[in-house]
Amino acid sequence: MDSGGQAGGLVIEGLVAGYGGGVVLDNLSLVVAPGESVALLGRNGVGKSTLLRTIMGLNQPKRGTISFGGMRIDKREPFEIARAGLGYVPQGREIFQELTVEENLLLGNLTAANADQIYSMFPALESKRRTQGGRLSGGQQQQLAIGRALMGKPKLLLLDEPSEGIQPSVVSEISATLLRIIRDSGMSLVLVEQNIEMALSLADRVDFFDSGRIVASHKVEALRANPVLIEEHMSL
Amino acid sequence: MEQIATVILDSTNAILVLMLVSLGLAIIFGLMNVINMAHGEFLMLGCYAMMELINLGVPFFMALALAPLVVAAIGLIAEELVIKRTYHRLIDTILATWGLALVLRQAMVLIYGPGSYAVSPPDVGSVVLFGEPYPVYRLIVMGISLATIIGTFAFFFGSRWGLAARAVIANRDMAACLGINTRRLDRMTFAFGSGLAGLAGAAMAPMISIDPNAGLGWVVPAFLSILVGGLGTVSGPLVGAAGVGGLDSVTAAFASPVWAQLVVFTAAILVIRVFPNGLVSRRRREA
Repeated sequence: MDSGGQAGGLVIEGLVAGYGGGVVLDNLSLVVAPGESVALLGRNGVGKSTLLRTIMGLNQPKRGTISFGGMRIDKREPFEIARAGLGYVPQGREIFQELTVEENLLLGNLTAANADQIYSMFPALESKRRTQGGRLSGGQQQQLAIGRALMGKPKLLLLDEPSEGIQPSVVSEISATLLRIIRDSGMSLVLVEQNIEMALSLADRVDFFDSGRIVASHKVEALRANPVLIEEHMSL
Repeated sequence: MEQIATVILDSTNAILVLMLVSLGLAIIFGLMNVINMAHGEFLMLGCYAMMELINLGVPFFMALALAPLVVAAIGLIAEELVIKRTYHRLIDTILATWGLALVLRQAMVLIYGPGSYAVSPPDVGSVVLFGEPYPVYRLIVMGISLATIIGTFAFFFGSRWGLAARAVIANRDMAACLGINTRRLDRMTFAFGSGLAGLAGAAMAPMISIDPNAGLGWVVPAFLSILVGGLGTVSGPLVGAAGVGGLDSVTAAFASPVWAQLVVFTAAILVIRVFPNGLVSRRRREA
């Protein structure tokens, strides 16, 4: 593929997707270069989570293409997409409630000898390794969901509202850890967030989402210099 | 006293074999969301596979090891040809597997005719237990069943494959998004579940009459076991099988098989009425 090959990252062109007869994503195009972090901002219900689900193959596109690393992934099974190097942390985290922390992490990479690298990133998880995932606090569950995705050493991490329902101190802790991981690994990030501070701290670029497509795109520096832009797009 | 001992031993035998059958059915449902109406037919195929292997001159116990593999291979083919086309449509799995059951039964009628066959038990004699002679082969069947059940548990709770399977049972989409090959797991699951039914059929072959309907008597108790024991756990069907199989064989021994059916169904309805989610899941929720 042309643009997919040259970008090497995630290339979405003319994507139309939805549930049943309804269209949620309407002719959406998006490019995320290797190593780039993009935050998707927009009101609730404009299709941000649907986009991530469609990228992961959980929802079939009606039209358009999705490529990653030069390979078409829009007709692939979710497990093939994951193996192509995409990590996914869904909204609501979806950790395996009855499995232990360690088992949850190992599911991110069944051939891993252990989960020690994740414990060094999220020390709070190490003391809970034998605890059932469902018994963790919201913040710990979020760390677990992120750690589980990182076990597979993804080239691109899709993160859906990681700050949802988590106290602010833990949100900034998670942000700091993620920022360090992104810098160290060169991993790309697509972050769906309502928490503007978290989005700005992690992303290089912010794409504003409305009615199933991206309506504006700004560098984070530009938004920091001119916060009115954020207000404009968020109150559309 | 002697009679009671024999009834207990026979009941244990029936319970353990029913556990094998229920376990296969429950694993296929739990992992694949497929209600396999053809499960009894895989048991029936286990009987015929056993008979064919013995006719080919394969020693009895080697045939007993090979027959489940033959049935698992047939399961693999059925999964590829029929089952995989019905995923995500629960009602269609019932129709499709019911059709598969008809095809398998009629195939046996075409190949072997509608009549029944018998397989002679291996010459392992009998031992005196509680003052009564008891056939050793029945003890061997119990041992094989128990070992297979324990092995299945060890696999589910002690291996990475088992971990992946438990993750698929808990949340299929999320497991797939972590890179777990759900397609291959589905294939292996159906083959394994069929193989368990095939093992039950092969082991029971010398004790029952082998005909195309040989599996019918097992499916209903196996489904009842799952409903009584509860879905979503590996232990639920075992608890259910203990209850259903035990009640059935004890009532059949002291009253009659007709009474046994009445008692088992009444008890099952009562249990499901009081514990709609089954005995095991109910207990876990309260804990």
